[in-house]
Amino acid sequence: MNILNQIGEVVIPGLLIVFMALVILIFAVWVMGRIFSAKKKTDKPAPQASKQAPAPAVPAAKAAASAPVVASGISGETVAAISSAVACYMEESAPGVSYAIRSIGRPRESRPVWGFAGMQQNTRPF
Amino acid sequence: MIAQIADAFAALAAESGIVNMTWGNLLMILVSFVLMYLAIGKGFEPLLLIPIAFGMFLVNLPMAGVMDPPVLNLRLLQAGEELAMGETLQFIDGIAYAVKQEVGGLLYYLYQGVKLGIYPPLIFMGVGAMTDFGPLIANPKSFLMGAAAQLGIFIAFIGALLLGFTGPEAGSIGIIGGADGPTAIFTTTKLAPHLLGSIAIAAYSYMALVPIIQPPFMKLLTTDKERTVVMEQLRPVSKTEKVIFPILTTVVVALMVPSATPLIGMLMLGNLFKESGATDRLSKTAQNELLNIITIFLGTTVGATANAATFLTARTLGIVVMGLCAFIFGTIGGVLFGKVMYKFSGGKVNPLIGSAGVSAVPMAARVSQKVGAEYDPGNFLLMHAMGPNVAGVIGSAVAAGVLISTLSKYI
Repeated sequence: MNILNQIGEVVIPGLLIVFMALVILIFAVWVMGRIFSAKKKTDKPAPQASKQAPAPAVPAAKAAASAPVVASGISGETVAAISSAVACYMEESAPGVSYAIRSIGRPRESRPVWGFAGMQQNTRPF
Repeated sequence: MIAQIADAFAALAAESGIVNMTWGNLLMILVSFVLMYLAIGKGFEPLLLIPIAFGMFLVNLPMAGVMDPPVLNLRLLQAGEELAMGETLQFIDGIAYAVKQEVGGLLYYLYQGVKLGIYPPLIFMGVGAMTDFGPLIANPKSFLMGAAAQLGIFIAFIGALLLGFTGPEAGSIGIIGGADGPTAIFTTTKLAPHLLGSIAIAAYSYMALVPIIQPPFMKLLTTDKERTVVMEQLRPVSKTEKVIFPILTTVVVALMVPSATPLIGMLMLGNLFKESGATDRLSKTAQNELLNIITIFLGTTVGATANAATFLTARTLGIVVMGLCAFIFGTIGGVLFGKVMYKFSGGKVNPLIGSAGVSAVPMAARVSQKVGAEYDPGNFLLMHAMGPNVAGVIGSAVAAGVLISTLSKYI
Protein backbone atom coordinates (compact mmCIF):
# COMPACT_ATOMS: atom_id res chain seq x y z
CA MET A 1 0.00 0.00 0.00
CA ASN A 2 1.55 3.32 -0.97
CA ILE A 3 1.67 6.45 1.12
CA LEU A 4 -1.10 8.26 -0.75
CA ASN A 5 -3.46 5.34 -0.25
CA GLN A 6 -2.76 5.32 3.47
CA ILE A 7 -3.28 9.06 3.71
CA GLY A 8 -6.56 8.69 1.84
CA GLU A 9 -7.64 5.84 4.04
CA VAL A 10 -6.61 7.25 7.41
CA VAL A 11 -6.18 11.03 7.42
CA ILE A 12 -9.33 12.29 5.69
CA PRO A 13 -11.79 9.75 7.16
CA GLY A 14 -10.00 10.06 10.52
CA LEU A 15 -10.41 13.83 10.74
CA LEU A 16 -13.99 13.59 9.46
CA ILE A 17 -14.96 10.95 12.03
CA VAL A 18 -13.35 12.91 14.89
CA PHE A 19 -15.28 16.04 13.85
CA MET A 20 -18.50 14.11 13.24
CA ALA A 21 -18.36 12.39 16.64
CA LEU A 22 -17.72 15.67 18.40
CA VAL A 23 -20.38 17.55 16.38
CA ILE A 24 -22.92 14.89 17.35
CA LEU A 25 -21.83 15.35 20.96
CA ILE A 26 -22.22 19.14 20.63
CA PHE A 27 -25.76 18.62 19.35
CA ALA A 28 -26.60 16.08 22.07
CA VAL A 29 -25.20 18.30 24.85
CA TRP A 30 -26.92 21.36 23.38
CA VAL A 31 -30.28 19.53 23.29
CA MET A 32 -29.71 18.37 26.87
CA GLY A 33 -28.92 21.94 27.93
CA ARG A 34 -32.07 23.27 26.25
CA ILE A 35 -34.24 20.62 27.90
CA PHE A 36 -32.86 21.40 31.34
CA SER A 37 -33.06 25.18 30.85
CA ALA A 38 -36.70 24.82 29.77
CA LYS A 39 -37.41 22.53 32.73
CA LYS A 40 -35.78 25.00 35.11
CA LYS A 41 -37.97 27.80 33.79
CA THR A 42 -41.19 25.77 34.11
CA ASP A 43 -40.21 24.68 37.62
CA LYS A 44 -40.14 28.33 38.79
CA PRO A 45 -43.41 29.80 40.07
CA ALA A 46 -44.56 31.88 37.08
CA PRO A 47 -46.43 34.76 38.81
CA GLN A 48 -43.56 35.48 41.18
CA ALA A 49 -41.08 35.58 38.30
CA SER A 50 -43.24 37.95 36.26
CA LYS A 51 -43.68 40.27 39.21
CA GLN A 52 -39.98 40.54 39.93
CA ALA A 53 -38.61 40.49 36.41
CA PRO A 54 -39.09 44.18 35.55
CA ALA A 55 -37.12 45.51 38.52
CA PRO A 56 -34.06 43.40 39.26
CA ALA A 57 -32.31 46.25 41.02
CA VAL A 58 -35.10 46.79 43.54
CA PRO A 59 -34.21 43.98 45.96
CA ALA A 60 -30.65 45.23 46.19
CA ALA A 61 -31.89 48.73 46.83
CA LYS A 62 -34.26 47.47 49.51
CA ALA A 63 -31.49 45.48 51.13
CA ALA A 64 -29.31 48.53 51.14
CA ALA A 65 -32.09 50.63 52.64
CA SER A 66 -32.56 48.27 55.61
CA ALA A 67 -28.99 47.54 56.69
CA PRO A 68 -28.44 44.09 58.27
CA VAL A 69 -27.79 43.67 61.95
CA VAL A 70 -24.09 42.89 62.22
CA ALA A 71 -22.57 41.13 65.23
CA SER A 72 -19.76 42.98 66.97
CA GLY A 73 -16.24 42.38 65.69
CA ILE A 74 -17.27 41.83 62.04
CA SER A 75 -15.73 44.49 59.81
CA GLY A 76 -17.41 46.39 57.02
CA GLU A 77 -15.21 44.59 54.48
CA THR A 78 -16.42 41.21 55.76
CA VAL A 79 -20.04 42.35 55.51
CA ALA A 80 -19.38 43.51 51.92
CA ALA A 81 -17.70 40.19 51.02
CA ILE A 82 -20.53 38.12 52.52
CA SER A 83 -23.15 40.28 50.79
CA SER A 84 -21.43 39.87 47.39
CA ALA A 85 -21.11 36.10 47.89
CA VAL A 86 -24.81 35.86 48.73
CA ALA A 87 -25.65 38.04 45.70
CA CYS A 88 -23.57 35.80 43.38
CA TYR A 89 -25.15 32.66 44.80
CA MET A 90 -28.69 34.04 44.53
CA GLU A 91 -28.03 35.28 41.00
CA GLU A 92 -27.02 31.75 39.96
CA SER A 93 -29.48 29.65 41.93
CA ALA A 94 -32.59 31.83 41.88
CA PRO A 95 -32.28 34.75 39.47
CA GLY A 96 -34.91 37.44 39.96
CA VAL A 97 -36.02 36.25 43.40
CA SER A 98 -36.07 39.00 46.01
CA TYR A 99 -34.09 38.56 49.21
CA ALA A 100 -32.69 40.63 52.04
CA ILE A 101 -29.75 40.08 54.36
CA ARG A 102 -31.20 40.85 57.79
CA SER A 103 -28.33 39.90 60.03
CA ILE A 104 -24.74 38.70 59.92
CA GLY A 105 -23.33 36.85 62.91
CA ARG A 106 -21.04 34.02 63.94
CA PRO A 107 -22.56 30.55 64.20
CA ARG A 108 -22.29 28.84 67.54
CA GLU A 109 -20.14 25.77 67.27
CA SER A 110 -19.41 23.11 69.83
CA ARG A 111 -16.07 22.49 68.11
CA PRO A 112 -14.11 25.01 65.97
CA VAL A 113 -14.11 24.19 62.22
CA TRP A 114 -10.33 23.95 62.02
CA GLY A 115 -10.24 21.72 65.06
CA PHE A 116 -12.87 19.49 63.52
CA ALA A 117 -10.95 19.31 60.21
CA GLY A 118 -7.76 18.39 62.07
CA MET A 119 -9.53 15.68 64.01
CA GLN A 120 -11.03 14.26 60.82
CA GLN A 121 -7.64 14.18 59.12
CA ASN A 122 -6.00 12.43 62.05
CA THR A 123 -8.70 9.81 62.49
CA ARG A 124 -9.41 9.07 58.80
CA PRO A 125 -6.85 6.20 58.52
CA PHE A 126 -8.60 4.33 61.33
CA MET B 1 42.10 -24.90 46.09
CA ILE B 2 43.37 -21.50 44.92
CA ALA B 3 42.50 -22.44 41.37
CA GLN B 4 38.97 -23.28 42.45
CA ILE B 5 38.57 -19.94 44.23
CA ALA B 6 39.92 -18.15 41.17
CA ASP B 7 37.46 -20.05 38.95
CA ALA B 8 34.57 -19.12 41.24
CA PHE B 9 35.56 -15.44 41.10
CA ALA B 10 35.97 -15.62 37.33
CA ALA B 11 32.48 -17.15 37.01
CA LEU B 12 31.01 -14.45 39.27
CA ALA B 13 32.82 -11.74 37.32
CA ALA B 14 31.54 -13.14 34.01
CA GLU B 15 27.97 -12.85 35.29
CA SER B 16 28.40 -9.43 36.86
CA GLY B 17 26.86 -6.31 35.43
CA ILE B 18 30.21 -4.51 35.20
CA VAL B 19 31.68 -6.96 32.72
CA ASN B 20 28.51 -7.11 30.64
CA MET B 21 27.92 -3.37 30.51
CA THR B 22 27.76 -2.02 26.95
CA TRP B 23 28.17 1.58 25.78
CA GLY B 24 24.50 1.53 24.86
CA ASN B 25 23.51 0.55 28.42
CA LEU B 26 25.73 3.27 29.80
CA LEU B 27 24.20 5.89 27.54
CA MET B 28 20.67 4.81 28.44
CA ILE B 29 21.53 4.97 32.15
CA LEU B 30 22.75 8.53 31.58
CA VAL B 31 19.48 9.36 29.76
CA SER B 32 17.57 7.97 32.73
CA PHE B 33 19.60 10.21 35.05
CA VAL B 34 18.76 13.23 32.89
CA LEU B 35 15.05 12.34 33.08
CA MET B 36 15.32 11.92 36.86
CA TYR B 37 16.98 15.32 37.08
CA LEU B 38 14.22 16.92 34.98
CA ALA B 39 11.59 15.31 37.19
CA ILE B 40 13.18 16.00 40.59
CA GLY B 41 15.23 19.12 39.91
CA LYS B 42 12.95 20.88 37.43
CA GLY B 43 9.60 19.44 38.48
CA PHE B 44 8.66 18.22 34.95
CA GLU B 45 5.83 15.68 35.40
CA PRO B 46 7.65 13.97 38.32
CA LEU B 47 4.84 11.50 38.99
CA LEU B 48 5.39 10.01 35.56
CA LEU B 49 9.00 10.74 34.74
CA ILE B 50 10.44 9.27 37.94
CA PRO B 51 8.91 5.80 37.47
CA ILE B 52 9.69 5.90 33.73
CA ALA B 53 13.29 6.97 34.30
CA PHE B 54 13.82 4.41 37.05
CA GLY B 55 12.36 1.63 34.90
CA MET B 56 14.76 2.68 32.14
CA PHE B 57 17.61 2.67 34.65
CA LEU B 58 16.76 -0.82 35.94
CA VAL B 59 16.40 -2.45 32.54
CA ASN B 60 19.76 -1.15 31.39
CA LEU B 61 21.64 -2.68 34.31
CA PRO B 62 23.11 -5.74 32.60
CA MET B 63 22.23 -9.23 33.85
CA ALA B 64 19.58 -7.89 36.23
CA GLY B 65 16.91 -9.46 34.03
CA VAL B 66 14.02 -7.37 35.36
CA MET B 67 12.23 -7.54 32.00
CA ASP B 68 13.29 -11.08 31.02
CA PRO B 69 10.39 -13.25 29.90
CA PRO B 70 9.90 -16.66 31.53
CA VAL B 71 11.84 -19.49 29.88
CA LEU B 72 10.62 -23.04 29.45
CA ASN B 73 13.47 -25.54 29.14
CA LEU B 74 12.52 -28.85 27.55
CA ARG B 75 14.95 -31.79 27.84
CA LEU B 76 14.32 -35.10 26.12
CA LEU B 77 14.26 -37.69 28.84
CA GLN B 78 16.17 -40.86 28.03
CA ALA B 79 14.91 -44.22 29.23
CA GLY B 80 15.88 -44.80 32.86
CA GLU B 81 17.07 -41.22 33.31
CA GLU B 82 15.90 -39.39 36.43
CA LEU B 83 14.56 -35.87 36.72
CA ALA B 84 16.93 -33.21 37.99
CA MET B 85 16.07 -30.74 40.76
CA GLY B 86 13.21 -28.43 39.78
CA GLU B 87 12.23 -30.42 36.71
CA THR B 88 8.79 -31.90 36.07
CA LEU B 89 7.85 -34.75 33.77
CA GLN B 90 5.63 -33.96 30.80
CA PHE B 91 4.58 -36.04 27.83
CA ILE B 92 4.28 -34.29 24.49
CA ASP B 93 3.00 -36.51 21.64
CA GLY B 94 3.82 -39.52 23.77
CA ILE B 95 7.47 -38.51 24.26
CA ALA B 96 8.74 -37.89 27.79
CA TYR B 97 10.35 -34.51 28.48
CA ALA B 98 11.92 -33.06 31.59
CA VAL B 99 10.50 -29.56 31.85
CA LYS B 100 12.04 -26.78 33.87
CA GLN B 101 10.45 -23.37 33.99
CA GLU B 102 12.48 -20.30 34.83
CA VAL B 103 10.33 -17.42 36.00
CA GLY B 104 10.62 -14.05 34.28
CA GLY B 105 11.69 -10.72 35.76
CA LEU B 106 9.41 -8.71 38.02
CA LEU B 107 8.78 -5.94 35.52
CA TYR B 108 7.99 -8.48 32.79
CA TYR B 109 4.91 -9.57 34.72
CA LEU B 110 3.86 -6.04 35.61
CA TYR B 111 4.31 -5.12 31.94
CA GLN B 112 1.53 -7.51 30.94
CA GLY B 113 -0.94 -4.85 32.12
CA VAL B 114 0.50 -2.52 29.49
CA LYS B 115 0.80 -5.18 26.80
CA LEU B 116 -2.78 -6.31 27.21
CA GLY B 117 -4.09 -2.74 27.24
CA ILE B 118 -5.30 -2.90 30.87
CA TYR B 119 -3.48 0.00 32.55
CA PRO B 120 -4.31 2.87 30.13
CA PRO B 121 -8.12 2.52 30.50
CA LEU B 122 -7.71 2.25 34.29
CA ILE B 123 -5.69 5.47 34.26
CA PHE B 124 -8.47 7.01 32.22
CA MET B 125 -10.94 5.99 34.91
CA GLY B 126 -8.91 7.96 37.46
CA VAL B 127 -8.65 10.91 35.07
CA GLY B 128 -12.44 10.79 34.59
CA ALA B 129 -12.97 10.80 38.35
CA MET B 130 -10.86 13.97 38.59
CA THR B 131 -12.30 15.81 35.58
CA ASP B 132 -15.07 18.36 35.70
CA PHE B 133 -16.85 18.35 32.34
CA GLY B 134 -18.96 21.32 33.49
CA PRO B 135 -17.18 23.92 31.28
CA LEU B 136 -17.62 21.66 28.26
CA ILE B 137 -21.32 21.08 28.98
CA ALA B 138 -21.82 24.82 29.52
CA ASN B 139 -20.13 25.63 26.21
CA PRO B 140 -20.43 22.55 23.96
CA LYS B 141 -18.91 24.45 21.00
CA SER B 142 -15.57 23.81 22.76
CA PHE B 143 -15.78 20.31 21.33
CA LEU B 144 -14.83 21.76 17.95
CA MET B 145 -11.53 23.11 19.23
CA GLY B 146 -10.87 19.72 20.83
CA ALA B 147 -11.41 18.14 17.41
CA ALA B 148 -9.31 20.70 15.51
CA ALA B 149 -6.36 20.17 17.84
CA GLN B 150 -6.22 16.53 16.72
CA LEU B 151 -4.82 17.82 13.41
CA GLY B 152 -1.32 17.21 14.80
CA ILE B 153 -2.01 13.47 15.02
CA PHE B 154 -2.72 13.20 11.32
CA ILE B 155 0.07 15.55 10.20
CA ALA B 156 2.57 13.51 12.23
CA PHE B 157 1.09 10.34 10.73
CA ILE B 158 1.87 11.65 7.23
CA GLY B 159 5.36 12.76 8.35
CA ALA B 160 6.11 9.35 9.84
CA LEU B 161 4.99 7.61 6.63
CA LEU B 162 7.33 9.85 4.66
CA LEU B 163 10.18 8.92 7.03
CA GLY B 164 9.66 5.27 6.13
CA PHE B 165 7.62 4.00 9.07
CA THR B 166 4.88 1.48 8.32
CA GLY B 167 1.22 2.53 8.55
CA PRO B 168 0.61 1.07 12.05
CA GLU B 169 3.91 2.53 13.29
CA ALA B 170 3.04 5.93 11.82
CA GLY B 171 -0.36 5.80 13.52
CA SER B 172 1.29 5.12 16.87
CA ILE B 173 3.72 7.99 16.34
CA GLY B 174 0.92 10.33 15.26
CA ILE B 175 -1.07 9.67 18.42
CA ILE B 176 1.71 11.39 20.42
CA GLY B 177 -0.06 14.54 19.16
CA GLY B 178 -3.09 13.52 21.21
CA ALA B 179 -0.99 14.72 24.19
CA ASP B 180 -2.45 11.96 26.24
CA GLY B 181 -0.08 9.34 27.68
CA PRO B 182 -2.61 6.54 28.25
CA THR B 183 -4.12 7.02 24.77
CA ALA B 184 -0.65 6.92 23.17
CA ILE B 185 0.25 3.77 25.10
CA PHE B 186 -3.08 2.09 24.39
CA THR B 187 -2.80 2.77 20.64
CA THR B 188 0.85 1.72 20.46
CA THR B 189 0.24 -1.58 22.26
CA LYS B 190 -2.38 -2.35 19.61
CA LEU B 191 -0.48 -1.12 16.53
CA ALA B 192 3.28 -1.10 17.15
CA PRO B 193 4.22 -2.60 20.56
CA HIS B 194 7.91 -2.67 19.60
CA LEU B 195 7.94 1.16 19.62
CA LEU B 196 6.21 1.49 22.99
CA GLY B 197 9.23 2.70 24.97
CA SER B 198 10.21 5.49 22.59
CA ILE B 199 6.63 6.63 21.96
CA ALA B 200 5.67 6.69 25.65
CA ILE B 201 8.80 8.58 26.61
CA ALA B 202 8.35 11.06 23.76
CA ALA B 203 4.65 11.56 24.65
CA TYR B 204 5.24 12.16 28.35
CA SER B 205 8.31 14.33 27.76
CA TYR B 206 6.43 16.59 25.35
CA MET B 207 3.45 16.76 27.71
CA ALA B 208 5.82 18.04 30.36
CA LEU B 209 7.17 20.55 27.86
CA VAL B 210 3.76 21.93 26.82
CA PRO B 211 4.40 25.27 28.60
CA ILE B 212 7.53 25.69 26.46
CA ILE B 213 6.26 24.30 23.13
CA GLN B 214 2.87 26.00 22.87
CA PRO B 215 3.25 29.74 23.73
CA PRO B 216 5.40 30.78 20.72
CA PHE B 217 2.87 29.34 18.26
CA MET B 218 -0.07 30.76 20.21
CA LYS B 219 1.47 34.22 20.07
CA LEU B 220 2.55 33.86 16.44
CA LEU B 221 -0.95 33.02 15.23
CA THR B 222 -2.99 35.56 17.21
CA THR B 223 -3.24 39.34 17.30
CA ASP B 224 -3.15 41.48 20.46
CA LYS B 225 -6.87 42.17 20.05
CA GLU B 226 -7.70 38.46 19.88
CA ARG B 227 -5.53 37.62 22.88
CA THR B 228 -7.31 40.14 25.10
CA VAL B 229 -10.86 38.96 24.40
CA VAL B 230 -12.70 38.57 27.70
CA MET B 231 -15.14 35.70 27.38
CA GLU B 232 -18.64 35.67 28.85
CA GLN B 233 -19.21 33.85 32.11
CA LEU B 234 -20.24 30.22 31.60
CA ARG B 235 -23.77 29.20 32.55
CA PRO B 236 -24.16 27.06 35.67
CA VAL B 237 -24.53 23.36 34.87
CA SER B 238 -26.99 21.26 36.86
CA LYS B 239 -26.04 18.02 38.56
CA THR B 240 -28.44 16.04 36.34
CA GLU B 241 -26.67 17.30 33.23
CA LYS B 242 -23.33 16.26 34.70
CA VAL B 243 -24.70 12.78 35.46
CA ILE B 244 -26.21 12.32 32.00
CA PHE B 245 -23.12 13.60 30.15
CA PRO B 246 -20.82 10.57 30.73
CA ILE B 247 -23.56 8.15 29.69
CA LEU B 248 -24.44 10.20 26.61
CA THR B 249 -20.81 10.54 25.53
CA THR B 250 -20.15 6.83 25.97
CA VAL B 251 -23.17 5.96 23.83
CA VAL B 252 -22.21 8.36 21.02
CA VAL B 253 -18.49 7.51 20.91
CA ALA B 254 -18.84 3.77 21.46
CA LEU B 255 -21.42 3.48 18.69
CA MET B 256 -19.38 5.57 16.24
CA VAL B 257 -15.89 4.27 17.04
CA PRO B 258 -16.21 0.98 18.94
CA SER B 259 -12.44 0.55 19.30
CA ALA B 260 -12.32 3.70 21.47
CA THR B 261 -14.77 2.15 23.96
CA PRO B 262 -12.21 0.90 26.52
CA LEU B 263 -10.74 4.41 26.85
CA ILE B 264 -13.93 6.47 26.67
CA GLY B 265 -15.94 3.93 28.66
CA MET B 266 -13.53 3.96 31.59
CA LEU B 267 -13.05 7.74 31.40
CA MET B 268 -16.78 8.22 31.65
CA LEU B 269 -17.22 5.54 34.33
CA GLY B 270 -14.74 7.44 36.51
CA ASN B 271 -16.62 10.66 35.80
CA LEU B 272 -19.94 9.04 36.69
CA PHE B 273 -18.43 7.91 40.01
CA LYS B 274 -17.60 11.56 40.67
CA GLU B 275 -20.78 13.22 39.46
CA SER B 276 -23.36 10.73 40.70
CA GLY B 277 -22.64 11.71 44.30
CA ALA B 278 -23.60 8.17 45.30
CA THR B 279 -20.17 6.55 44.92
CA ASP B 280 -17.91 8.85 46.80
CA ARG B 281 -15.63 6.04 48.00
CA LEU B 282 -15.22 4.61 44.49
CA SER B 283 -14.51 8.06 43.11
CA LYS B 284 -11.84 8.70 45.72
CA THR B 285 -10.25 5.30 45.13
CA ALA B 286 -10.24 5.79 41.34
CA GLN B 287 -8.62 9.21 41.55
CA ASN B 288 -6.15 8.45 44.33
CA GLU B 289 -5.02 4.95 45.32
CA LEU B 290 -5.89 3.11 42.10
CA LEU B 291 -4.54 5.86 39.86
CA ASN B 292 -1.31 6.05 41.86
CA ILE B 293 -0.78 2.28 41.83
CA ILE B 294 -1.42 2.02 38.09
CA THR B 295 0.83 5.02 37.45
CA ILE B 296 3.69 3.28 39.26
CA PHE B 297 3.18 0.03 37.33
CA LEU B 298 2.68 1.76 33.99
CA GLY B 299 5.51 4.25 34.35
CA THR B 300 8.09 1.75 35.56
CA THR B 301 7.29 -0.89 32.98
CA VAL B 302 7.06 1.55 30.08
CA GLY B 303 10.46 2.90 31.08
CA ALA B 304 11.72 -0.67 31.22
CA THR B 305 10.87 -1.18 27.55
CA ALA B 306 13.58 1.37 26.69
CA ASN B 307 16.59 -0.88 26.65
CA ALA B 308 19.65 0.16 24.69
CA ALA B 309 19.17 -2.42 21.94
CA THR B 310 15.71 -1.20 20.95
CA PHE B 311 15.93 2.47 21.95
CA LEU B 312 19.22 3.65 20.50
CA THR B 313 18.25 3.63 16.84
CA ALA B 314 17.69 6.23 14.14
CA ARG B 315 13.98 5.37 14.33
CA THR B 316 13.81 6.75 17.88
CA LEU B 317 15.10 10.07 16.55
CA GLY B 318 12.35 9.99 13.90
CA ILE B 319 9.76 9.36 16.63
CA VAL B 320 11.06 12.24 18.73
CA VAL B 321 10.98 14.66 15.76
CA MET B 322 7.53 13.55 14.60
CA GLY B 323 6.20 13.71 18.17
CA LEU B 324 7.28 17.35 18.38
CA CYS B 325 5.62 18.04 15.00
CA ALA B 326 2.43 16.42 16.29
CA PHE B 327 2.36 18.72 19.32
CA ILE B 328 3.11 21.83 17.26
CA PHE B 329 0.49 21.11 14.60
CA GLY B 330 -2.05 20.15 17.27
CA THR B 331 -1.52 23.56 18.88
CA ILE B 332 -1.73 25.30 15.49
CA GLY B 333 -4.94 23.43 14.60
CA GLY B 334 -6.58 24.39 17.89
CA VAL B 335 -5.57 28.06 17.73
CA LEU B 336 -6.58 28.42 14.07
CA PHE B 337 -9.98 26.94 14.83
CA GLY B 338 -10.19 29.31 17.79
CA LYS B 339 -9.65 32.16 15.32
CA VAL B 340 -12.45 30.82 13.13
CA MET B 341 -14.73 30.76 16.16
CA TYR B 342 -13.57 34.28 17.07
CA LYS B 343 -14.71 35.51 13.64
CA PHE B 344 -18.01 33.64 13.64
CA SER B 345 -18.91 34.58 17.21
CA GLY B 346 -18.31 38.27 16.49
CA GLY B 347 -15.19 38.40 18.68
CA LYS B 348 -16.61 36.62 21.72
CA VAL B 349 -14.19 33.66 21.68
CA ASN B 350 -10.55 34.09 22.68
CA PRO B 351 -8.52 31.96 20.21
CA LEU B 352 -5.91 31.25 22.89
CA ILE B 353 -8.22 28.64 24.42
CA GLY B 354 -7.96 26.62 21.19
CA SER B 355 -4.46 25.43 22.05
CA ALA B 356 -5.88 23.67 25.12
CA GLY B 357 -7.64 21.29 22.73
CA VAL B 358 -4.50 19.14 22.53
CA SER B 359 -5.57 17.62 25.91
CA ALA B 360 -2.59 17.39 28.33
CA VAL B 361 -5.10 18.12 31.11
CA PRO B 362 -4.85 20.57 32.83
CA MET B 363 -1.44 21.81 31.71
CA ALA B 364 -2.59 23.04 28.28
CA ALA B 365 -5.51 24.96 29.84
CA ARG B 366 -3.07 26.56 32.28
CA VAL B 367 -0.90 27.63 29.34
CA SER B 368 -3.93 29.35 27.73
CA GLN B 369 -4.60 31.13 31.02
CA LYS B 370 -0.96 32.15 31.43
CA VAL B 371 -0.55 33.50 27.89
CA GLY B 372 -3.89 35.34 28.13
CA ALA B 373 -2.89 36.86 31.48
CA GLU B 374 0.38 38.14 29.96
CA TYR B 375 -1.68 40.50 27.78
CA ASP B 376 -4.51 41.22 30.23
CA PRO B 377 -3.76 40.21 33.84
CA GLY B 378 -7.45 40.46 34.74
CA ASN B 379 -8.54 38.01 32.04
CA PHE B 380 -9.35 34.57 33.47
CA LEU B 381 -9.40 32.09 30.61
CA LEU B 382 -8.78 28.96 32.67
CA MET B 383 -12.38 27.80 32.98
CA HIS B 384 -13.06 28.57 29.31
CA ALA B 385 -9.91 26.67 28.29
CA MET B 386 -10.97 23.64 30.34
CA GLY B 387 -13.79 23.08 27.81
CA PRO B 388 -11.53 22.43 24.79
CA ASN B 389 -9.02 20.77 27.12
CA VAL B 390 -11.37 17.97 28.23
CA ALA B 391 -12.88 17.87 24.73
CA GLY B 392 -9.34 17.11 23.56
CA VAL B 393 -9.25 14.01 25.78
CA ILE B 394 -12.43 12.75 24.12
CA GLY B 395 -11.18 13.83 20.68
CA SER B 396 -7.83 12.04 21.04
CA ALA B 397 -9.58 8.87 22.24
CA VAL B 398 -11.83 9.00 19.16
CA ALA B 399 -8.79 9.59 16.91
CA ALA B 400 -7.05 6.63 18.59
CA GLY B 401 -10.09 4.47 17.89
CA VAL B 402 -10.05 5.52 14.23
CA LEU B 403 -6.33 4.74 13.90
CA ILE B 404 -6.71 1.34 15.56
CA SER B 405 -9.65 0.32 13.44
CA THR B 406 -8.17 1.50 10.12
CA LEU B 407 -4.58 0.38 10.66
CA SER B 408 -4.80 -2.86 12.64
CA LYS B 409 -5.38 -4.85 9.44
CA TYR B 410 -1.86 -3.91 8.27
CA ILE B 411 -0.09 -5.40 11.30
